Amino acid sequence: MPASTASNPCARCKAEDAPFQLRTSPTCGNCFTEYIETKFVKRLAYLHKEVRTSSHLEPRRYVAGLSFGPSSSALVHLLDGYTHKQSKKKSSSTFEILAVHVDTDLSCSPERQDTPAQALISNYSAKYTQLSFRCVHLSKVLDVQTVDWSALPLPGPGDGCSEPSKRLQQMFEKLPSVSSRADVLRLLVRHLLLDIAMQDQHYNTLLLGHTTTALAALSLCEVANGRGFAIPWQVNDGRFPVTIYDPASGAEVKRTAYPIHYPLRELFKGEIDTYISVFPEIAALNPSNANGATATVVSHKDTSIEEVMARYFESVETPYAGIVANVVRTTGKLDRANASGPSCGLCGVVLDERGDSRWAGEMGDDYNPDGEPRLARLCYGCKRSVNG
Amino acid sequence: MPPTPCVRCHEQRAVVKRPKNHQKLCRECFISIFEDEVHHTITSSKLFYPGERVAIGASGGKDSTVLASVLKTLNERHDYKLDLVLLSVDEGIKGYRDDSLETVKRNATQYEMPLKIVGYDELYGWTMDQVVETIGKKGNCTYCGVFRRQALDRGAKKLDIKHVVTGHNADDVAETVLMNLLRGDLARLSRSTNIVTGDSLSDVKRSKPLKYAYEKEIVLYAHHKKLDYFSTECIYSPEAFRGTARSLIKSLEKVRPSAILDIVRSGEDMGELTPDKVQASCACDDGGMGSCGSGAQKEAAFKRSSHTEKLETEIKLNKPEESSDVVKLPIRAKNGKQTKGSTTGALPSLGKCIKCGYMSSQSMCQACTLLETLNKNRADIAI
Repeated sequence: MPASTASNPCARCKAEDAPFQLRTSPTCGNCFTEYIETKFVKRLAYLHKEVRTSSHLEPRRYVAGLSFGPSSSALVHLLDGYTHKQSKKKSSSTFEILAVHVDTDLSCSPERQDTPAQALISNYSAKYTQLSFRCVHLSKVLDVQTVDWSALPLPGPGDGCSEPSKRLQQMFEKLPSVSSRADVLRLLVRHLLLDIAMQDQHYNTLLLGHTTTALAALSLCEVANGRGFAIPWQVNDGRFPVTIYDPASGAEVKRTAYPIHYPLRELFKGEIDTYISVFPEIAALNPSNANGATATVVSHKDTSIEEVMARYFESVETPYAGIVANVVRTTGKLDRANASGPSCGLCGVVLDERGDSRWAGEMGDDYNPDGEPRLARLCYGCKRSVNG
Repeated sequence: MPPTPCVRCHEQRAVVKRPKNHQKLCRECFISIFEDEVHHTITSSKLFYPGERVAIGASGGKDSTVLASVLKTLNERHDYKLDLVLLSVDEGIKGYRDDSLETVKRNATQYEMPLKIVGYDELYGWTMDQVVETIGKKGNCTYCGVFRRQALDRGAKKLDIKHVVTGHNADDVAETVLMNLLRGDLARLSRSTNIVTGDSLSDVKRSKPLKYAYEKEIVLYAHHKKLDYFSTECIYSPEAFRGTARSLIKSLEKVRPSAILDIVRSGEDMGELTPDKVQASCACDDGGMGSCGSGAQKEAAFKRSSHTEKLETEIKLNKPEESSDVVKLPIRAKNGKQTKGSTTGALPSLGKCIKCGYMSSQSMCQACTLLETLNKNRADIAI
């Protein structure tokens, strides 16, 4: 065999053709996909153990967030494969998945049926017939009661524009920076997904497609946003605190919690990219993925903190895979603060009541000299995002 | 174009755009707001008590020079009644420290403060030049860092002072927060953001009054106050070695200037959430805070962390084999697991170094451990 084409055999099954690299060993395509699937199934098994309410077989019904990006597309693909497997097994509970895409393009009316997002959703539902799909416009988030809208600079329906997407757009324009817009958008999408999952009694968990890399970037992004207090909730699997507000008065009505899980949390972004390259049909579903662009309301003229972090972690993932996992593991070990106090109207996490008095970093008169009292309903990080 | 007026006094022409929030200020307003903020930090954290004797860790660099100048101004303006002393460490690096010490000596006369210099050679019998000669340029920052922390304490003790202030700024603290997250060091994360380090057990407490001051503002302050400082990087820590955390912070600052302060805030909040809020700290460490432009040291720590778990123990595991010219030591367990457990599990308890009596979490403090290896090498060379 000529030296140039000689490659080491697969470290797992000894197959001659091992084009992939798994951590440090050469791996064949079969073993690679098996590895990805095992990691994913293990997290699903953990999830099932956490959320099941009886020892009898009961259907497992989850809502999955789908942004059309590589990770969430891979998540849908894996969920589809798993549904197939489960349906063949008599001894296992049935599996029902609703994949939801939130269309963040505020420029087109929510009533339109021919948006690019809807075209993509029909691509997905034609391919994955076992799963249900839904496309929801971001403007629907205004009906969501888990956000304290009175704490946000949202123009009222009477302020000259009643159309929800216009109101939202105006709110985004009022936010002080690109980073703020990206941050608030991310939180609103999360709220909307949570709301869809909670509204339908059918479903009992929200699944998000974050990889280890994405979770590490999210952690440090939250650190840079000043939301260190919220990190243990944002990056761990488990029940996320939810507060229901009265839409008219903004008063707190009820407090509950809803499970959010990240089934791809033990996989790196690079591994997901390789996985997708094994199944060209996933990439074919969304041709625009090739250049990594997804639709957002904000312009890409300036970068946001989110992008800086994502880029940083993608660059360190290969040389220092250890630190990517380190970040997720470290922040995951932090305690979740006692959930009895008031919570932040935007990110939903319990407010650190003594935090502001402990904080000596600002004299308070640098900005917002007469800060309106209603804005005190937000945590430090959300205040930064909303007020600058 | 008409000159922009200062947003604070509305009279003078604005000459400074504050890096922190892009406010446009005149020279006087900038200087006074900078000083007011440091005063706020000092009063809100109750850093000093009247009549306290305080040593300022002075390197001659911008941070410590600004710290000395601001503290002198505030001490007079607000009548802190502090007795301020400059304390310098002479690492023994020719072409760098000897020059910067000249700056400190000038500062001492300018600010009318007494100056005390402690040298590595008198404390440890090694100058950094000699250390580098023995072990090479790689990893020498570890030695320098460990030695300096102790040297400051020992210098303070010689002066009978119980409080050392250092010039660590907000960028340094933010960098430490990110570094500790990247290294997965929860214990250090919880104390790295404390304004005062070293607890009741230790003899000398250390604090950082410039903890909330941006590096860029410190440079501006030094510039507008025409302070005399030394701005050369340490010759053993070249620019190329800057840690990735530092560059990440710089790019975040570009995107949103408040990011540095927000990271410090997050760090403080996360400190509240660490499961085991034990504040006891090994004295040879203030939360993983580097002091000079110790990029190389951080870079080294960063690289170590990529093969996780191993960090920290690596240095300590250096076999303390007996050599003829040193005091005999009880043989430490060579069992790596034991030491490993102490870094990942429960925090080590504070004791005293069996050799020098300085507080330490191990039987022998880190400085003595490092000295052991150095002295062993020196013995070899002598033969």
